[in-house]
Amino acid sequence: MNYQSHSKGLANDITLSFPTPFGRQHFRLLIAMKLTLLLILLFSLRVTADIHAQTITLSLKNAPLSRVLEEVRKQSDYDFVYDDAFLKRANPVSVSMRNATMEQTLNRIFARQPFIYEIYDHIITIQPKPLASESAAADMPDPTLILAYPEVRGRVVDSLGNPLVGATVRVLNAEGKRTTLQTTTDRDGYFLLRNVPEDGQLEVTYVGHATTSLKPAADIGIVVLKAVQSELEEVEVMVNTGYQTLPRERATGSFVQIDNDLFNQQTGSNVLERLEAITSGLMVDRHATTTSGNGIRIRGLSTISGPKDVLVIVDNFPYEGDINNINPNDVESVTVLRDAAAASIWGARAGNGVIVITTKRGKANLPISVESNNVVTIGAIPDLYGLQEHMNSSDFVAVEEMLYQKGYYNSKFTSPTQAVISPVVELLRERETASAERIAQIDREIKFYRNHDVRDDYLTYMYQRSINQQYHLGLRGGSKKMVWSSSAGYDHNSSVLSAKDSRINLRLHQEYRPVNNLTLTAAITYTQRQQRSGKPGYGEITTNSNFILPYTPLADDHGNAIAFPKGLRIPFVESLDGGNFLDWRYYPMEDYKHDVNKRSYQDVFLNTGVNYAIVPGIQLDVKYNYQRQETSTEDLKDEKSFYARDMTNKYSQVAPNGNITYLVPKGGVLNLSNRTLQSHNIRGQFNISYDWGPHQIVALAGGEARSAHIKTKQFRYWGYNGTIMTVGNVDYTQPHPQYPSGGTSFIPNNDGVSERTTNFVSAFANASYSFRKRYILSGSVRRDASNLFGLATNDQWNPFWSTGISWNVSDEPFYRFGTIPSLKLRATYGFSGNINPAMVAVTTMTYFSNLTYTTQMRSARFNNFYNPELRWETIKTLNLAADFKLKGDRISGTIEYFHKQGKNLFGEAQLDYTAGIGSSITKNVASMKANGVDITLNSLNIDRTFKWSSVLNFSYAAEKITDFFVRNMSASNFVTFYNGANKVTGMSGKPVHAMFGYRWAGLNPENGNPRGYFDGEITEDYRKLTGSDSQVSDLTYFGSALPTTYGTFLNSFSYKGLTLDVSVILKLGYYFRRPSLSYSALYASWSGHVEYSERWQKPGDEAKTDVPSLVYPANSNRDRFYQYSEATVLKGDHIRLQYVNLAYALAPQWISRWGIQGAQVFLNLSNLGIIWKANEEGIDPDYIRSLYQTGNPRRVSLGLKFKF
Amino acid sequence: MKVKYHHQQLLIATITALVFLSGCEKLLNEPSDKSLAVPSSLEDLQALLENPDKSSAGFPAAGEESADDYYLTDEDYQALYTVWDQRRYIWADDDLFAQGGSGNPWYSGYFAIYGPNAVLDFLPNIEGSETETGKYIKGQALFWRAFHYYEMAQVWTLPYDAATASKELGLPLRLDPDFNKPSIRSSLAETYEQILEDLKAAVPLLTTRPIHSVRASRQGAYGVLARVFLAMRDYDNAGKYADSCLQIHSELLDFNTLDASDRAPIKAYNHETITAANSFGDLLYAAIAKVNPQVYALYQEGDLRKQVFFETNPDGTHRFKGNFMEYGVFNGIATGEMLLIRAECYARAGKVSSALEDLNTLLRSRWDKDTPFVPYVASTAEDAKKLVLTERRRELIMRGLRWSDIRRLNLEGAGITQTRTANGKVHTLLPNDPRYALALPEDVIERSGMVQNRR
Repeated sequence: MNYQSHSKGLANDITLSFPTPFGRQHFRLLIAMKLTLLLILLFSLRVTADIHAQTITLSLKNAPLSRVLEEVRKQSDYDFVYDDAFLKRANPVSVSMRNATMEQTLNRIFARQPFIYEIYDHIITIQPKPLASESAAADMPDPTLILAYPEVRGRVVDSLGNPLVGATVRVLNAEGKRTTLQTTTDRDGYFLLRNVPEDGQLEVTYVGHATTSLKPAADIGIVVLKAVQSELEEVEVMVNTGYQTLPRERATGSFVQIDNDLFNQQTGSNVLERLEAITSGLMVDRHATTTSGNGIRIRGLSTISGPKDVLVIVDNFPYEGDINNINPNDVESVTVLRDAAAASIWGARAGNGVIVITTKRGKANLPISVESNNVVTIGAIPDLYGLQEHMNSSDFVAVEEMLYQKGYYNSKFTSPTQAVISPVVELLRERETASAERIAQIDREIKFYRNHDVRDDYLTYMYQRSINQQYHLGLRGGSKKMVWSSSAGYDHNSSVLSAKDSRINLRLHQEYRPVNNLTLTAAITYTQRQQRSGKPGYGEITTNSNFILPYTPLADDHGNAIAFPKGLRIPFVESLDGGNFLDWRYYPMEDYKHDVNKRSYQDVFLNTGVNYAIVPGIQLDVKYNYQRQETSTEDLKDEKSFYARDMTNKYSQVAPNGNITYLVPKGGVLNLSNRTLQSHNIRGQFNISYDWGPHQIVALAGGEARSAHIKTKQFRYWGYNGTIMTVGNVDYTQPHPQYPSGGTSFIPNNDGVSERTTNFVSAFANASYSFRKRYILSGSVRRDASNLFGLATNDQWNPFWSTGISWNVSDEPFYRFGTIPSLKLRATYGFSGNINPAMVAVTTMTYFSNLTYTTQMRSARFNNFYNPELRWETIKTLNLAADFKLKGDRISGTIEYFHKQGKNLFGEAQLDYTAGIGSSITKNVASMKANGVDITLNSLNIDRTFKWSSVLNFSYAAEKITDFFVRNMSASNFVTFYNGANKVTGMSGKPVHAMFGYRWAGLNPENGNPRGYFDGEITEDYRKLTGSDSQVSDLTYFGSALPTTYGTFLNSFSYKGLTLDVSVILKLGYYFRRPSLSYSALYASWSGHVEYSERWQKPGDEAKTDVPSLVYPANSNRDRFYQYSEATVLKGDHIRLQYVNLAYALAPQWISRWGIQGAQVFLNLSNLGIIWKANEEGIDPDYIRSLYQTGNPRRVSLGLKFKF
Repeated sequence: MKVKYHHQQLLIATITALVFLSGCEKLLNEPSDKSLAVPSSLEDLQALLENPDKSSAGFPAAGEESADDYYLTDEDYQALYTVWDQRRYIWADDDLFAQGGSGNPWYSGYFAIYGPNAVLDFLPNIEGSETETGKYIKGQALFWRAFHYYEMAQVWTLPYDAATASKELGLPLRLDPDFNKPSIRSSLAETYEQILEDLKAAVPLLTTRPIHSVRASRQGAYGVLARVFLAMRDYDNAGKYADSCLQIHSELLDFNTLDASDRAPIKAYNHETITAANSFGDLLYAAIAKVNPQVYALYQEGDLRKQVFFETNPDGTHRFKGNFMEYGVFNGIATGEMLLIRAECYARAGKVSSALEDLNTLLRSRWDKDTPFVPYVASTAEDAKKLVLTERRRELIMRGLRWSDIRRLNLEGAGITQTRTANGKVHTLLPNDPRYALALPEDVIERSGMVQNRR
C-alpha cells in the first residue's frame, strides 16, 4: 500500500476541518503551542552591554570591521547599532593608535568604509553612505522652511514595545526630500527635534525595520517600527554549501539560490516538490518517481546504473530520513549545487548534485517576530475518464463472448482451484443449460453489465476531493548574545481516496555567544507523522493477477456493497454458503474498512555545534548531528477482512464427515513492523579567513565521520482479536493442504529482522583566494572511505577534487563596456564519482531471515559475485559561466555551459546466463559525455506602481554514450515499453535512454495485421520481427526518452499590495511510448485499452488507425511487435502551467491597530495542466509511467500569512 | 605570552582532531549488513546449498512437456499465453523458450548449478573442509550439480548412444564459479562422464539416508546413478545402482492408506520419496494437461492409482493429481522408480523371477486390499521386459521420465512416433528425430557463441 495522494483513504472519517477539540492531534498541538510560548519567554531576555568610559588604543592590521568595532566597544562605554549584512561589505581596517578619543578613532576607522556613523548618547549608529543624489539633497539649504514647531517629542519602539535605541528621526521637506535636520533616539527610545517645519514630515528609520513617515506634532507619542526581514537577501545573496556560507560573488561554482519568497509561491507539504517549477537546471523524471526515489535530476544524468538521486542536505548534514518529514514552512532558503566545484566538497555522494536546505533561524539584535502561515488546499478528483487502460464495458463483454465461443474458458471451468471467472462468462456458461425464463434474465443481466461503467461507481463511492490543511507558527528573535528561532507546524492531508496523513513539526534553533570568540549552536527538530490507509483506487482492486473488470458494479441501487469475484469463482463460493466456511466473498466497498494500514513516524533531528575563534582569522568549528527516525507500521486485516477470511478458509481441513479444522485460526491478521534509522555525524573543521592588502584567503579543512544504522523487524500474528487481545498459533514448519485445490502449501510467514550500517569517514579541504576582489581562485579536495561490504582497503579512499577561477571583468579599470556594466566570468573543473553498492571485490552471501520450511535450517543465497574487472565510475565536469547585468539594472542573468565526461560507468551488461548468475551483471559498461547549457535571465519589465518581473530558466542537457561494451545488438534489447523508459538502451552516439521502435509498415489492408520490415521486405512474421534475428540497426531511432531541453518561466506582477506569480514548466526534445492494446493481456488478465474501439475492423480502416485487428488465439509476438513499434511512439514535448499564485498584502493601516505588522491572503492554483503539447492523442507524457496513472489533479489553495 | 596561549589552543584542537580520526578504522571495518557474509565457514556453505529455490528446484520440465503423458485441447492450446509455450507443444524447430531471465529453464538450471560450483570452489580454503561435515558438503554439491546436468542433458542433448556419444554435442560444462569464462559445449560423452564422475565421488561423502528428502544422500546418489545408466542403456550398472539404492531403504507408500477423494492424495516428502525435486512447465498445469487416454486405459480394476492419480473432468477427460510434491512436477527419486529400474534390468539380464518379484512388490502397495491381487507372471525375459515397461507408464506418469524413456527405447527400435494435434493440424515427431534434443534458447546462442543443436 502506498501513501501518495492518489492512494487509499479512509471513508468513514469525513472530518475536513481542524481536528475535533478533544482529539489527540489537537492535544499535541496545544502542547506544541505551550512549549513555543515557554521558549519565547526564555529567549526574549535581552542582553545589555556593560559600559565603561575610556580612551582607545588599537593596533590591528587588515582586521574585519566587525572585529575593530568590537574592540572599540570593549574599551569604551559606547555601543554600536548596525546590521550585520552591511558589515559584510566593509573593507578591512589597518589601524595603529594609542589613547585616542572616540571621535579620532571613529574617523580613522570609517575613513575607507562605505558607511557613515552617527553618535548619539553613547550609541553609534552605522548606516550605509547615502547615494550621491540623496546626500546632495540633504546638503541643500532648505527653502521651504515656513513655520516651525519649536519642539517635537516622541518615542520609538519595536512591535513588542521595546525601545529602539539609536533610531534616526529625519525631517523631510514638503517634497519629501531629506533635510539636514535629524536626530537619533536615546537609550529609552525618546527623541527631541527642534524647529520642525509645519508642512514637513518625519521619517523614522532603524536598521532592520521598516521606515515610517508621519506628520510632525508637538508630542508624537509612540512610534512603532516593524521589523523587516528580507533586507539581508536584498543586500547580498549568500550560497550555502553545507560546509560554509559564502557570498555569491565569491563563489566560482555553479549554484542556484532559491530564496524564501520564491520558495513560498507554492503550497503543499513537501519541500522537494516545489523545486521543479523554480530551479534552473533541475528536472523531475517522473518515471523514476513511480519506481523509486524522488526523480530529481540536476543537469541530466551523471551515471547510468549508479544511484541517481541527489544528495539532500538539511542544516549542514545529509538528511537520512523521509524528506516528507520536513516542513516547507521551516525552510529559509535552498541552494542547489550543480557543478563539480560546488558539489565536490560532498564527495562520493554528490555525483548527482546536491540540494542544501537551510532552515529558519533568528538574527542578532532583532526583536521577536512572529510569523504564521495557514493554508487550506483542495485537490480535484482524478480524471478517471481520461484513463488509457480502460475498455468500454460493451466492448469488453463482446470480447468475453467471443472467447467463450472459442472455448478459451473450458479448462478454467473444470479447474479444481476454482479460480475466478468473470461474472459475464459465468452467465454465458449458465445460459447454455438454463430455462427459457432464466435465459431472458441472464440476457438482461449481461445487458446491464454492457452498460455499466465501473468508473461511475468509483467516482460515486471511492473518490473525493483531497484536502490539505497546513498551519504554521514561527517565532524568532535575537539579542547580541543569543539568537533563536522556534516553530510549530501542523499539516493534515486527506487524499482523494481518504487516506490520511498528518504531521506535527516542532523546531527550536539557538545560537549563543557567551564570549566574543565562541558560538554555541543547538537545534532540535521533532516530527511526528501519522498515516492511515484509505479506499482502494482504480487499479488497486485486483483478483489474482487480473485487473478490475470495466463493468464491475461496486454497489447496488441502494448503495449496498456488491461482492467482486476475487480468488475464487462466485458459484463455488455460493455453494459453500451455510456450511462451516467463513463467507468467502470480497466486497471492495467494505473491505478497506477492515484492512487498515497505519504508519507512524517519529523523527528527531538534532544539531549541536561549537565555533571557536582560536586566533583572529582561524576558527575551529565542530558540529555534531544526530538523526533518529522510527517508523512503525501496523497493518491490521481484521477478522472481517477478505484476507483473514480467505486464509482461514484456504487452510481449512475438511474431514470426510464434513468437520472442519482451521489451521489458520479465525480472527484478524496483524502485521507489525518497525524500522529505526539512527545516524551520527561528526565534523570538525578549521575555517581560515585572512586578508592582507588586496589579498583575501578563505579556506576550510577538516574531517568528518558518519554512521547510519538501520534496524528493521517485522512479525505477523494470526487469529488476532483486538477486543480481548489474544492471538493464535499456526504451524509454519510443514506444507498443508489447501482448500479447494488440494495442493499443499506453507502458511505464509512474514517475520524477519535485519540490521545495516553504513559508515563513512572523510577528509576535506576547500580554499579560495581572491585578489582585489577581481580574481578568485578556488579549489577543493575530498576523500571518502566507507565500510561498504567487501571493498578492498586500497579502494576505500577515493579522491574527489575540483578547481575554479572567476574574474570580475567589469571591475577592471580598462572595462568600459557600458551596455553590460557588470560582468563576471567563471570556470570550474572537477572530478567526482559514484559508489555502487554492487561494486564489491568478493563474493558475498545473504542469509534468509527465516529457516527453511523443510529442513528447519538456515539458508542463504549469493548476493554479489566476485568481479575483479570492476572500477569506480568517474565523472569529470567542466563548467563555464558568465554572470551579467545589463545597463539600467533591468536585466541580469547567468549563462552556464557544462561538459561532463563519464568513464567506466556502471551498467547492466548482458551475460550469457549459462554462467549461472543471471542474465545481466553490473559492470563498467560505458563511457558517456554530456553537454549542456543553463541560462537564467531575470528581468524587471515594468517598474512603476505596477511592477512586472520575469525569470526564465532554460536548460539544455544532452548526454550521449561514447562507448558501450555490449556485444548483443538484438533489437529486443533496445525497444522499451511505456513504463520502461529508464531502461538503458546504451548504444554509442545515442542518449543513455533512447527511444527506438520496430519499423512500421502499417496494417495489412486485408486483415488488419500489423506489418513490419525484415531485410527490407514487408512482413508479418512476428517471430522474425521481434526475435533475435532482428538487430538494433533494423529499428527506427527517434531520440532521447528523457527531456533534453527544459526550463521554467516565472512571471511576477504586482500592483500595490497585490502580486500575481505565474510559473510555467517546459520539457522539450524527447519521445515517449504510449500504452497500447495487447490482445494477449486483454484475454489473460482483463487489461484492456481505450484504443480497442479504434481497432482495424474492415478494409479501409488501415487509413485511420494503427490498432491491429482482433485475432484469436492471441499472438504474443504480434502484440509485442505492435506495442514496441514506431506506431506507439509520440513526441513528448509539452508546456505545463504549474502554478498561479495571487497574493494580496493587507494595507498596514488596516491591520496595525491589532499589532499586526504584515498580513497576506493568497490564492494558489497548481497543477493546472498542459497548455501545449506536441502529441495529438491527449496524453500527458509526464503521467503515463505506470498503469492507471491519472496525473496530478489540480489544486486550489487559500492561505493567510501574517507577521507581528 | 599571548603567542603561547594560541599554541595551546591549536594543540587542543589538533588532539581533538586526532581522537576523532582514531575512531575511523573501527567504523570502516564494521559490516554493512549483518545478514551479509563472505562464505567462510562450513555453516555458510551448507546454508548456500540449503537454498530451496536452487538445489531441489530449477529442473527443466521441457522434456515432460514434449512427451506423451498428456495432451492439450485446441481451446487450451489457443489459450496459451506465449508463443513459446505453443511452439514447445508442437515440437517446433526453434524459439521454444522465453528470452533472458525468468521462465527459461536453461537459466534456472545453470542458476542451480552455480551454487554447487561456488561451494566446491570455496570449500578447500575453508577450515574443516576435511572433516566429516566438510566432506558431506562436498558430496551434496557434487550430487546436485550432477543431477541438474543429467536432467538438462535429457532436454538439450540427443539420447546417449555409446557409439556416437563422443561425436555428439553435449552441454557446456561449467565446473567453477568464474562467470568470465566462456561457455563451450562439451561432447555428449564428456557430459555423461562428468555426471557419473560427480555422482560416484559424492557417494562415499554423503549420509546413507537423507536427513530430509530435500537433502542429498547416498541413497539418492545411487538412485540418480541408476537413472543415468538407464538413460545410457547401461542396464548392468543401472540395475546395480538401483539395487544399492533399494538395499538402503525400500519402503513404499501403501495406496490403501491414501484418501483417493483428496484433491492431492499423495503428500510431499512422504516416506517413499528418497530425494525430493521438482520442475515447472506451463503446459503441464492440471487444469489444461489432459491425461493421455491410452495411458489411462492401462490401469486395471483394483489398481488404486486409477483413483489416486486421476480426477475425471466434467467432459470425461482426466487430469493428473498424483504428484509427489506440493508444486510442479515431481522429478526426484522415489522407491517405485528404483524397483522398476531394477526390474527392467533383471528382465533384460534374463532374471525373470527377480524382475517379477520387484514388479509385484510395487504393485501390491498400489493394489486395493479389497480386490484380490493377481501377481504378474511372465515366461520369457522379453515378456517380463514388456510388463515392466508397461508398468513404468502406469507408475511413472507425469514424473518427468517419459521423454527420456522414449529417447532410449527408440534407439533400441521401439519405434515410438508421437503425434499431436493443434488447431486442427497434426504434428508428428518421428523416432530419433533431431528434435529429441530441443533447441537451446536463442539468446544464449547469441550471447555465448555456442553451437545450436542441429535440426
